Amino acid sequence: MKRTLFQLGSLLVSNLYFATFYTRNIYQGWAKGLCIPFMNCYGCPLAVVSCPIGSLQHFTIIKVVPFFLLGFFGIVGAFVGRMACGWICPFGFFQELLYKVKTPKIYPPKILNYLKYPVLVILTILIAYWLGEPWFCKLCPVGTLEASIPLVIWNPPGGIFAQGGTIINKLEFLFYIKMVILFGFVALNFFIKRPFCRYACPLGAIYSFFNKFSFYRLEVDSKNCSLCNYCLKDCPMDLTVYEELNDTDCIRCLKCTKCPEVNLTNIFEKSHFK
Amino acid sequence: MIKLRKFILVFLFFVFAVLIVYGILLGDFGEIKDNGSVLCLSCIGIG
Repeated sequence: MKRTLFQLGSLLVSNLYFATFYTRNIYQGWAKGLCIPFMNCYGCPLAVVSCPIGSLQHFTIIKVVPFFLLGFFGIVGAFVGRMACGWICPFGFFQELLYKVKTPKIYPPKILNYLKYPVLVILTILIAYWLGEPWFCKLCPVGTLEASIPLVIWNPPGGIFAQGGTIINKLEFLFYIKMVILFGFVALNFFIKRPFCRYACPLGAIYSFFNKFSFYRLEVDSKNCSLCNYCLKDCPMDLTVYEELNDTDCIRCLKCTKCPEVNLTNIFEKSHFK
Repeated sequence: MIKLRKFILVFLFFVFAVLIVYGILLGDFGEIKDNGSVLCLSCIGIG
């Protein structure tokens, strides 16, 4: 419940520009220069902050080293690892809701989780650099959910969104590709926990490098752990915590800390289990 | 080993903080200069 409040709160805080319905413009104030530590499309008419991956693509395209962004990713990752994925990412929340639908569940091989690294390096950085276009943003299902679909439903007459016509009249083939990708992930989500986070999220891929040595980390009491797999049943990334402690896929949702043998600690704190 | 890990972490925090400050001094700390202030057509699927 506490985590749900954080997830809903982050969705609201990053999408506060309700004046868009009156102005028919996007928010262009100072906050738009700030990145948030989770995926939130700034193409969303309500967005008041920048998407970190959108920013990364922007800097890659204009061929400028994004010093602020690199520091930002580093500070967040070194401090909490992938905790932002587990606690404040609205798209993660959306995926968790979909998985609650009662269907037969699938547990794909973990090697597929490495797919997010080619997505980060090839699609998000190299292709953007070579082609000069933000190809991850063009295909991103978060953008489809938060920007494309709301704008197509609203189809605002006039203002910045209309671009001299209406959005529906201007939709290109790309929009339908985006829809197929989004609904592909939605369909997968009924059977697999958080498929986008596992296989395609470049931001999760960046944070994952820090999980092993971040300031906040999980510890397990290996002497008293009864290997009951309670942690595995509850884990949104299907991790066996006592075997894969602080794994690159751990999103630090802390569900496993309900078990008394698992604890969140920090690198300067003495172990609770000594 | 743990001391080395702590040292590396503190060093990394310092490096990342320097990067952030340098980025802010350069003024390139987000998207406001460009894409943030115009509508991202790529995100919507019309460009």
